Amino acid sequence: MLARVLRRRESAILAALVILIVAIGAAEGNFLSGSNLYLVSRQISFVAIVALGELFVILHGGIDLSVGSIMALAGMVAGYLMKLGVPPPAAVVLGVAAGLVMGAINGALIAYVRIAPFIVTLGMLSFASGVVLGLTKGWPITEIPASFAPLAQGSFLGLPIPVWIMLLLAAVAHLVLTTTAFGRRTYAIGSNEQAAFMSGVEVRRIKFALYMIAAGCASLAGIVLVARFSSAQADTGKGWELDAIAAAVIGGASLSGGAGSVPGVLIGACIMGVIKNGLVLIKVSSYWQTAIIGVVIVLAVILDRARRRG
Amino acid sequence: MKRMPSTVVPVILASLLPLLAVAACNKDKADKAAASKVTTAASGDKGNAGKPPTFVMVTKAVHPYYEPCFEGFQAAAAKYGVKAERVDPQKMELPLQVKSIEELIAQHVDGIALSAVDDAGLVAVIADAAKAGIKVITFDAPAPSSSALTYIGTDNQTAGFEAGKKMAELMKGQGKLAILQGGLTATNLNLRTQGFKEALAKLAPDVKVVDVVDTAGDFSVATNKTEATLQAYPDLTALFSVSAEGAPAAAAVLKQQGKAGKILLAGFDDLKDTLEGIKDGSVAFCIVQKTFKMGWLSIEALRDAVAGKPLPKVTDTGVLFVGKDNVAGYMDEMKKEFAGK
Repeated sequence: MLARVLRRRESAILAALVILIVAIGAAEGNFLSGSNLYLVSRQISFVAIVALGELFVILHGGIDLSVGSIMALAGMVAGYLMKLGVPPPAAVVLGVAAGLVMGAINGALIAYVRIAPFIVTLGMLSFASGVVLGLTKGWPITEIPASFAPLAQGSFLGLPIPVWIMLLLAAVAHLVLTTTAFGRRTYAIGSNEQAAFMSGVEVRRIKFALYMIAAGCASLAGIVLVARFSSAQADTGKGWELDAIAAAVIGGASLSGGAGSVPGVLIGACIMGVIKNGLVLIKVSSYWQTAIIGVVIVLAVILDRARRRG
Repeated sequence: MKRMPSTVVPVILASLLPLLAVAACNKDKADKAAASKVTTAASGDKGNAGKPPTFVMVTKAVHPYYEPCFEGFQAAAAKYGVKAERVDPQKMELPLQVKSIEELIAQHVDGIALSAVDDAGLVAVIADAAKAGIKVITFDAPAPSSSALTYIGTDNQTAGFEAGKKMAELMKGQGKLAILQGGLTATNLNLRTQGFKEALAKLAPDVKVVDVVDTAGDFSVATNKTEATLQAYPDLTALFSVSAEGAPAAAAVLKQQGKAGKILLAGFDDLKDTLEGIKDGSVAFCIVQKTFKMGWLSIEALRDAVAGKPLPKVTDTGVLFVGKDNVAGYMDEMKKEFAGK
């Protein structure tokens, strides 16, 4: 079992995560306390959910810059509906549906109109956050029913609910990518789109679905964040696209497509979350934290690439 | 395969139409205060002596913060019989604000009250406006290098000092405090933090400021950093946020951890969730900039400028403390200040 783990491509990056955790834990014992790990795992889960969706898009060689603003839109729609008295489960479904509409627009423009993903999703980034701003004028929605909060503030078997959501999604994503034809074809498109097309892969249909998956994951994260804060914030998700992309790339995904895995994304998201929390705990000055995060991200990737070459 | 079906583009465009319709309706419904484009109704003959002058408020971008500013601007305009308009650049970016001012120069408005998004970058366009005979003043955020005639707004260092004084008093001169700051490069926030620390050093030297935490102006970052800070400093007794998102985010964390009311929390600005925190006791107080006053005084300053009267270089509009006792009625109080004028 251990040997199998070590042979996996993610082993180097997992080692980086373990080193990071041990180092921070040695410097500040409080980091490993149950209550801190509980909080960190919950912080990580939101980025990880978005990053799982982003992974699908990156695998085909694309990119989705709009996940952050789709989060905000879905959260706002769900929050607004709950404010109107719509029961939370229905509000969640409709919020995700709103995000999926944005994903469908992304997917259609990229797969069928054949516009570069960077441009389409950059446009969507602006459009979706603009719609949120236009409809809310920047005000948060705070009339969230108390019954909704446990979705993010509650726990099950000692783990925060968002962590369970993340694990469930990760398991499904992993199965889809490793055992289904859809998963294999996604990798195939990312490795060589021409060849995939020649061998009969429905490239357009798959690409369309991939952007829907990214939008769906982002929407879900955005809505669970509403439960987290008991309010829908208009600026939710700003810059999250970069965190999601970084988590995927740290975890071994290639921005040119064809490489990347679900365990890698989870480890990547953990590395980001652990550094961000750890730097505060070991009392690094706020003025230097950002610089250190940059160094650690690049070091982690160097370690990963060195191992693969070696 | 490489060609898309010819039906796809129209379908996509058609699917966007309802959204545009929604956006348009929303705009119609929005009250006059939120009108985001300059109306051209009375802009035809500005030069005529009989027409009331047109003064335009230029904000940094759409933000709830500017609503009471513009209300004050409109109220004063109604009192003095001048025309008040408002322009919101799409984003908080210098080129967009410059473009907005250039458009106003082309329209020959009579005065501009500007919440400056930058200093050096606005020098040229403000000079152009002055050359065109347009009076330009700054409110809320200054542009000290420019030829803007005056600045009306909060003196951030003084406001920070006042806040520090209040915290020193509530902390009874002892304890450990962390400052939350949304972005470490924003000049106005740095000044608040500086003033805040000065007040503590002077009035409560035993209070230890353990950290200035960068919340990046983002609610979720503020939440995560607050959680980490509480772990890092288990003996923390107070949190103070110099930017708007810190207090409500920290309040959410304190409430979830059952520490609301046990750890003293306060901060700048009256976001809706901050006010709710004051009502439920998780936030001790917030410091409110006198936005209505900024708008009102802007109209008065522009009138004086048009009449050729000299203007003071700076007008500090001061701050208001909002706590449980006045949370319900402070906004009306601020407006009443000018009702009788």
